[in-house]
Amino acid sequence: MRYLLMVSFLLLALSQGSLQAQTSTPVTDSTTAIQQEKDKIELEKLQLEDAQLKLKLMQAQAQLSPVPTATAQPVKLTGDQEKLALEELKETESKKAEVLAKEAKEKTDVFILDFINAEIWYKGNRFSIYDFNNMVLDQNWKLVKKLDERDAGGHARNLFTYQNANLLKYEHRDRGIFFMTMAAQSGDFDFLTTDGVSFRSSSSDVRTNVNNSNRYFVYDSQGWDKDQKILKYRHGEGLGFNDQVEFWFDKHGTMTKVRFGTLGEH
Amino acid sequence: MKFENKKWVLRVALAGALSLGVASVAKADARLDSLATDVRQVDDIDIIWLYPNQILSYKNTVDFRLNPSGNASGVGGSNTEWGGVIHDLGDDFGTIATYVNRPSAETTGTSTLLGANRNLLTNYWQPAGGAGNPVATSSNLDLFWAKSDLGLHLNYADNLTDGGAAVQGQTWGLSAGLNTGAFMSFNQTQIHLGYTEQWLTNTAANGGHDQGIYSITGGFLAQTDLNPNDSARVYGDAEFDAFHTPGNNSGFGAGVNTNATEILVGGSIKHNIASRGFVNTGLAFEYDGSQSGLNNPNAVTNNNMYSLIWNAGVESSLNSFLTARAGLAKAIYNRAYSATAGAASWTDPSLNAGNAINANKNVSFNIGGSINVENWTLDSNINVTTLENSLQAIAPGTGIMFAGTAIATTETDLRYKF
Repeated sequence: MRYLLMVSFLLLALSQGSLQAQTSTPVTDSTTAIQQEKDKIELEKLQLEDAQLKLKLMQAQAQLSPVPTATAQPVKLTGDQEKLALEELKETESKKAEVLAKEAKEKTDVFILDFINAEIWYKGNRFSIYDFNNMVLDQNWKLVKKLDERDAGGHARNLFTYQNANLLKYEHRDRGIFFMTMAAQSGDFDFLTTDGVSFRSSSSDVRTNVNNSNRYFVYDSQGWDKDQKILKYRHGEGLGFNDQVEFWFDKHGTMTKVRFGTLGEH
Repeated sequence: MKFENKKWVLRVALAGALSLGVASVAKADARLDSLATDVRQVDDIDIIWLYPNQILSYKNTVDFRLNPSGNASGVGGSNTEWGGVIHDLGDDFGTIATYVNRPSAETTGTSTLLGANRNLLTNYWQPAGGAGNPVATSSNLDLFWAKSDLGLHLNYADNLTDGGAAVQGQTWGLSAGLNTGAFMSFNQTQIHLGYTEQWLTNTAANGGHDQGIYSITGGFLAQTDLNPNDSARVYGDAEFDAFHTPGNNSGFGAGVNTNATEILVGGSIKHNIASRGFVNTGLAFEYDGSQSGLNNPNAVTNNNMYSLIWNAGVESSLNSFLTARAGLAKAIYNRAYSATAGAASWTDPSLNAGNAINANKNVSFNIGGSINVENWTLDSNINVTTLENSLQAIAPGTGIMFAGTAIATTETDLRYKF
């Protein structure tokens, strides 16, 4: 009798399994739910890692930056003092980036961007941001090179692309335009700046972080391109292209693009 | 034949050109003239006049030429400049360009090197009917459109000329350029084809029309990358010109009833210098065959001209906003055969007047530079005689710019990228 009950139960279970196999929707729903849960956990993990990196960055900033005092007043610097202060600022920012890069050394999907020194760090190694194409080659990645346009003198302006990171640069110039679009496929990269800005930052985060912690770039303006909001920052005046940074946000407030370099260059 | 073998053959063929020197003759804009080179050899915006599809590469450019007709005319006048704008309208519509007041032909620093009517070496655009057209019209309007790999160029001119009588000249031209992509061992290839016709009307009492003035053009350009720093090009162009008018009393130019065929083949090698510039050398051969004076069967002149030109140029940036250039072109071989009613002669139009047989012959040497500030570029070709005079009379403390002899420019172009 006991065996009979067990066999009946087994047959019932098998018949239900067979029924489920024939009607695949419940299985797919279940798989999707599991996948969504996994994605959620992965996202939370990434956010946690990001928060940890930001915390370490803040610690590094606290160690490296002079502590502001409530009574400190802005002092007008002379030309030489200004140059010296700029060099010190660049060195400080470079050290911040280095600390951040070492912490993120094991992360293979994040570029640490130091806009002040125009440098990009990957797996703890430093590259010029305008040498992104060579960085890609150094990593044995497949670099896509495309002629974008030419100036009247025939100089080629090439677009170098790897995943969601790009460099647009004239062959005869030192600087160019580096830009990243929001990760859209497997293998795409996130970024993290020395200000703690990443693709997960909101426009409020960008305004707060860049305005508060950055003495190099100043807020320029807010622009629009179709339905994209653009926060613009710049450094420099006079002849020659300014260093500029732009953060693009869609109508939902999600950062879709970051652009850096000689953005006024055509 | 394997791909690599084809490449090897090409390299050997081009090495022959290189052993003689390398690149071609100066013509067109200030930059090319400074390099004593040809737009078929070096990337430059003037390529749009041969290959209209190339406006896609030079999109969003304002292009102003501050002298009316090339290297020989000098800068100035303020009412004979020409130029236009190339504007990218997006992937759906493509790119358009509009130019106005383009001269009928460009004379260049090396035009004196070859003598008259080396049409393809000394001009890569010329009036309908050929460079000898005595009533050529400057272009009122040039319109371009290009999308994907195809480009079209429509040219319109309508001038009231004075050829001894009141003559109205109207010209229409249509040409196409096509990027044909990689072919054999070449990374890039392109072809062009064009037709231009001019209509003349004598508006004076005797009336009269031309009897056919037109040009048919075609050509190809191919480039291969030999290694990351060296590239080679081969090119060819052919043109047929016809200029026929009723006779000496038409006011259309006496005695120029002509049929002409021109063929140009060339090659060049360009070596890039660490992204700072390049050295280019080239070799080009042109054959021109023509019959003129066709309205008088007893006095027809047969002309055959052969020119082999070697040229070399260097361009290098001095810093972020200054670029220097220099170029030299020389006729390795240049002969013109002319025979009228049995009387024939051979001449070398490259000779300096009065040269002894043991004297250096004529060359074209050019120097120039660019100033680049943000998206603005000013290209100039310097009058070499004035520069050499200044160098000859350096006064310590005053520098070569103020040594008592002013340095003049022969042509200048102003460009803006947007």
